[in-house]
Amino acid sequence: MKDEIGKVYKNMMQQIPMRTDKILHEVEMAGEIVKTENKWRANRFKFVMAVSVLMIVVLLSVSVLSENNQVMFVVYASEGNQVELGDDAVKLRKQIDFESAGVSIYDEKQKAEFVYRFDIKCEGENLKRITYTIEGEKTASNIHELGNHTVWFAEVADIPYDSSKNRDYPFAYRSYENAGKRETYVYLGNQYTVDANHQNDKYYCIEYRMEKGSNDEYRTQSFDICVSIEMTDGSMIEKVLHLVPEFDVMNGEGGTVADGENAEFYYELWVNEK
Amino acid sequence: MRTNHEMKTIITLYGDKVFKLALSLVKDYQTAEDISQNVFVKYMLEDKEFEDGEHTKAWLLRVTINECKMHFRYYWNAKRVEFPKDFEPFVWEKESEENLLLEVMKLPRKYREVLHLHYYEDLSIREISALLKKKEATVKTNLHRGRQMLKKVLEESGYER
Repeated sequence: MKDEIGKVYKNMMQQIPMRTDKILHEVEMAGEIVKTENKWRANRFKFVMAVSVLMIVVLLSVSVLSENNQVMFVVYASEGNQVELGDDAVKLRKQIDFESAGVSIYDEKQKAEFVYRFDIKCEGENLKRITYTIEGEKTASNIHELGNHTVWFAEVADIPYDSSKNRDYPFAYRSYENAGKRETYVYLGNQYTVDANHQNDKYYCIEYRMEKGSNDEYRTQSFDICVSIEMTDGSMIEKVLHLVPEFDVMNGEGGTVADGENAEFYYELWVNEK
Repeated sequence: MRTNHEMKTIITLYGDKVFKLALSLVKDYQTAEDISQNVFVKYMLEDKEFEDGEHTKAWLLRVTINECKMHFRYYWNAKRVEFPKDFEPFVWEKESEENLLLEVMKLPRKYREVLHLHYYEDLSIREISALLKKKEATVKTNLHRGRQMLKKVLEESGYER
């Protein structure tokens, strides 16, 4: 019976036909798909490799360029120390050589102007020219035309001094005797440009003007200076400095002033890279 | 990857064995074809060099069993017990053989498995044990019980050659 069972089963199963061609066709189709997938994978691998290499090249280039074009600001702060400018604000030196500790109250409307040394230098490789622009400020033909809460650049220069025209020079104004020399501030407007190699040739200042308000207080507003740095290869780098005039509560008695000779308030100018 | 020519040769040689084993396990003509395709696609992609025909056959049967197990992992497939009567291109010589197959397919899978390998593939208990990775005693027991069941089926169905 054992052999008979086996024969019956085998005979029965042998009668069941198999579609060899169909299976072969399907297997060949699957083979084609696999080949296509392999090609696609190979191409994708090549693509990923190419993109990776490209990204590495770009990153390296940017890295090299950024190393070459790295610019930093150096500030000669109020204490006279050289400070590298960063996120932390640094107090600029007030121009204390002149009357009223750098403060000038010059007309009956009690406009006050503070003068600060703009002792900021750009340092780095391949620098060609640097342009400083006070954002939101315009250039006027006469400083007396400038409004309140106005900021401008001035250059310290030696010019013939005429005391009678102290307040009337349209561009050169406020000449003072200082250390045996007569120094005059020359109005530059909202912008000036300096060669990278001649940054130390002149003194530059920032003047901040404000007018006494109805409540006898002088209020200040912060402002930005855009620094455009032209590199020797022609490329440009732009940075922004943020400046904040701030009333010094430790030293000041209040935001009022009786006259130009007895100024009792102290405003400081803080700067940091934005 | 193996060439189409190689695949044609191997399917001609072993296609029937793979398909019948799959059919005896999954009890569905179309599914058995699908499983056979999967087995041969795996063979096509397999880089392994086989020692001889027996080695190739053993590998194909092993993969077929594994593919069938994969098929039964799905609840629906595992619970599907009816063997379809009217699938193409199947025409029996005798109606009694068709009924017999239907009865055989009602046996539990573990008995069908060893019965098929023993009677259709002419494998010994040791070979089946190695193929299924089961103890020889287990294979022997399943084969004995399956044979008893098949004998009963044959007797009850009044099968005549």
